[in-house]
Amino acid sequence: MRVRTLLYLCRLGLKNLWHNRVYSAASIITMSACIFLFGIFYLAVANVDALVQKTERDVYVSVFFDEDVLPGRVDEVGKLIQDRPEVLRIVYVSAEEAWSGFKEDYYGDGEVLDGIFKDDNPLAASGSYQVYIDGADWQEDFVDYVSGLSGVRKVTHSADTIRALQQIKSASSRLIAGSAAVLVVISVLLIHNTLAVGIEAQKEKTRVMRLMGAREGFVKIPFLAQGIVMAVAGVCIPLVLLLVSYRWGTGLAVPGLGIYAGQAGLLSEAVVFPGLVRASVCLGLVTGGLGGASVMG
Amino acid sequence: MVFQDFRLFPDFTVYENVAFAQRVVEADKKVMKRRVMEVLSQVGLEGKARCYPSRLSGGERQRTALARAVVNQPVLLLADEPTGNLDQKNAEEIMRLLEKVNRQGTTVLAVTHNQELVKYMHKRQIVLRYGKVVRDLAREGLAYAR
Repeated sequence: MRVRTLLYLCRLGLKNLWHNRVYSAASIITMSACIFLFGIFYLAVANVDALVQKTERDVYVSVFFDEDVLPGRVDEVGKLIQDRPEVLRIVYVSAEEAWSGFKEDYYGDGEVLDGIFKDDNPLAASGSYQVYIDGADWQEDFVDYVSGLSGVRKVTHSADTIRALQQIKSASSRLIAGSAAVLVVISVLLIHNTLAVGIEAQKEKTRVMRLMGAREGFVKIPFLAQGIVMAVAGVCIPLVLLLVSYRWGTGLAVPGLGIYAGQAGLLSEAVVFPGLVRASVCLGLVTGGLGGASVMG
Repeated sequence: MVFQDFRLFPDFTVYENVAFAQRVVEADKKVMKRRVMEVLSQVGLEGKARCYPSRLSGGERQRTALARAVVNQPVLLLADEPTGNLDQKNAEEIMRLLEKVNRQGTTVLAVTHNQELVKYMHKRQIVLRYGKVVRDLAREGLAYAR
C-alpha cells in the first residue's frame, strides 16, 4: 500500500471520528475516567507503599542486657547481631544516652527533674543495641534468635506495628489489583460498545467499499486510526489531569497538613509518574485490544 | 456496481465519492483528478463536484453513483434496479448513460422490473423467475437510438 493511500485512510479515520463525535467523545471520556480512577488508586498505593517501606526501615529492635553482663559479652553479641544477613545496621545506645534521650523526650528541657536524680541514672542497666532489620518479615525470626543468646535480658520489638504495616501493604496491593481488574472490565465493555456502534454506523459504507473492490486493509485502516487516536487521547488526557492534580495535591498537602519530607513525604512526580505512565499505557493497550478483539470476534 | 438506492457516502462530496473508487485502485493523483472530472463531465455533473449528496436530486445522485462505478473503466458493470427510485425522465437519462458506457467497451448487466425501459433499450433480455432463467432474447442489431 502506498504511503499516500495510508495517509488518506488515516485522514478518513479522523473524519469518521469527527463524524461520530458524540460516540467518540463518550468513549474517550469514559476511558479517561477509568484510567484517571486507576491513576488515583495507583498514586495512593504507591505513596502508602513508600510510607510502609520507610517505616519498616525506621522501626528497630532493642536488645537489652543483664545487669551483670561483662562488657566483652556485649561486644560479642553485637558482633553476632551484625553478622546476621537481615541486619542493615546496628547502633549501641549507652545507659547515659538512654537516660538523656528519655529526659529530652518526656521532660523537654529537664528543669522539672532538677535536683531529683542528680548523678543518679534510673536507666543504668539500660544499655542496648538498636537493630535495624531489612524488611519487617524477618523481625520475628530475628527476635527469636537474639532472645536465645546468653547475656540478653530483654528484646523489645514492634510486632504489632509491623503486622499492621504488613496488613496495610497487603490490603493496598489487593486494592490496586482489584480496582485495575474492575476498571479493565468496565473499559473493555465500553470500548466494545463504542466500537460496535461505530462499526454498525459504518457497516453500509464498508459494504459498499468492499463491493468497489477495497481490500480488507483498506476498509480496516480507518477504524484502526480511529481506535489509535481514541486510545492515545484516552490515556494522555487522564495522565495530564493526574499530573496537574498530583502537583496541586502535593502543593496543598505539604504545607497545609504539615507533612514534610523527613517523615511522611509524598513521592515526587519524577519517582511515581514513570510507573504510572507504563501502567496506564498497559491498561489502555489491554482494554483497547480486548475491546477490539471482542468486536471482531 | 450501481445500486437502486445510490449508496453514496453522505459525508463525501460528489468529487470525493467518485474519486474513492480511484483511491481503491491507488491511482496516481493527477490521473485521478483528470479521470474523475472526465466522468463527471460525461454524466453532466462537473458543476456539482463540490456538492454533498444531500444537496442533489435523485437523478443527480444516481448519475454520481454511475460515475463512481465507471471511473475505473470496468470490464463489467452491474446495475441493480438503477432506475428504481427515479422518475421516467431521469430513468431514461440513466439508461442513456448506461448505453454510452456500453459503447465505450464495458459490458452492462442491469436488473429492472420496468418493462417499458427494457423495450426502449433494444438490448439482450434475460427474464428471471424465482431465480431461474425463463427466457433469453438476444436482439442483436437493434441498437438503442433516440
